[in-house]
Amino acid sequence: MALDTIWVVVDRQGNRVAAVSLELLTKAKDLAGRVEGITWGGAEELAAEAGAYGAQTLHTVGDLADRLPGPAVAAAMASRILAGQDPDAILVPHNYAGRDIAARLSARIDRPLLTNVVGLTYDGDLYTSHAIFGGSEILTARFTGQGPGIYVVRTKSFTAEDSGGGPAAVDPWEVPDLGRTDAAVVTSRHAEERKGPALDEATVVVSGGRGLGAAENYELIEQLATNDDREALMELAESLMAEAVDTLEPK
Amino acid sequence: MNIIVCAKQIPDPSDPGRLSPGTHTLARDDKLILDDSDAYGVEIGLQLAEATGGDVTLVSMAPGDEAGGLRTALAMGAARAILVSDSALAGSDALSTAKVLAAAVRRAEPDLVIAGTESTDGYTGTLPVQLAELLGFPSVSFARKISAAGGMLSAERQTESGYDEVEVALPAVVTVTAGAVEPRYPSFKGIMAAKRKPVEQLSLADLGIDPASVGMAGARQEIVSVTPAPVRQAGEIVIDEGDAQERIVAFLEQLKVI
Repeated sequence: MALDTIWVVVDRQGNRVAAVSLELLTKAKDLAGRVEGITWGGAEELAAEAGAYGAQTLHTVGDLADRLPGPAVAAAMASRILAGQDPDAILVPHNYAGRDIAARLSARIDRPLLTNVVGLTYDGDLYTSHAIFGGSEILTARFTGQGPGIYVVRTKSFTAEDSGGGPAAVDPWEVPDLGRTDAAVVTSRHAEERKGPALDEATVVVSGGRGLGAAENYELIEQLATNDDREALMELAESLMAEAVDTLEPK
Repeated sequence: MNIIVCAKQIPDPSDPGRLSPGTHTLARDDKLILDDSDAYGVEIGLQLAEATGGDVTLVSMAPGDEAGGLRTALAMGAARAILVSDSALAGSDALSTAKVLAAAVRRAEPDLVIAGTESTDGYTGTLPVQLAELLGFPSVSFARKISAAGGMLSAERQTESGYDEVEVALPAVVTVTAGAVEPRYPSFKGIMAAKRKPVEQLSLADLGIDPASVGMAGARQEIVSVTPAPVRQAGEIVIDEGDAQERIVAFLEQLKVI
């Protein structure tokens, strides 16, 4: 195995492991003999899924109640690293919680981080890939110096695969004194209605353009994206084609 | 309220970006302008200062005493700017930059530090919260609506499923999303006034920072290579000869999405 130990920040979506963290666990399992997840809140409900995707252990900083995860999760990881634990790499999702955690961890352990990672390759060292300038060039980078690298990885960089592992062992982690850093208090949470998956989690993206002729015709695109009946799709495709021909044909 | 706004000056995004040969860092040798994503922070800072009393101080790090972008933000209404410029800072990563800005911010003893969620050129997206940790401040990232009163800041923070309402006692760091407000255009009067507003220039020595700990000398990551991305396979254009819908549906079946 290329590396000994990788830590993965296990973000949650309700009582499930967030899709991006399943991707990171899968990649970590490919790269290292030991994979440890770090999460917050009830870890028991995530242990089976985290284990199936590669984590042997799932550490939790416990119930955060009304606090944001960044300060506590970062401080708990940092205190263990500063006490001598030495993971080869720390993989963090490039999302709202992940970026806060990675940033605070970086400052606490005085290690830089690499963000917008879209690929990880081991070749004597761990190399990152980053798509730059609108994806026209691929930049490859690596950490130098002592201490674990913090890799902030974009969604869909890897494919999540259930490897059939047993439940991860849940291990509570104490959180050191956070000073004022966790003074931000969530007073209420609001779910906004959304049709379909988040854009960066979609398997297929159906888009429209000028050929649709008018904004209200995006309804056809939506029907195309949500319909899986062959005959209905055939009719929709025909309607779309007619609209495009009508709109784009020189008058 | 004493408000600091982090204002990054970047190469004009309408010009194609390029990397410096040898170091592979973003070329920043042309004229720099105020990053659009920081214009939102400047606007929110000005609105909060107007609502609570006080003013806005800009903090920036840029090569060669470059202050063109800062003048834009001063013309919008900021009172003054602190510019850290030192040749040893070239090639600094986000953490090094956060350390430099933290040293500059401490001098101003702010009630609130505002930054964009990420810059348009580097889009690392971690610097403001690194800055918060170095200052020992709480942070609210991805805020799309902000108000402040009585030493408390309230914000709507974007989440995966919607948004949270968050309150935090000041001082704190907050990052604002693009579109949170409509940045004002500098007035002619503002542009003229900006020319006389103070821009304090500081070096690493002024901030007590060892030049060997930042920039290329202090780098603890390296860019190994930059290569053209593989050319994407061209898409298939379906020309309708009476069977286009059949071919589209066959394509979707091939993708296994129906």
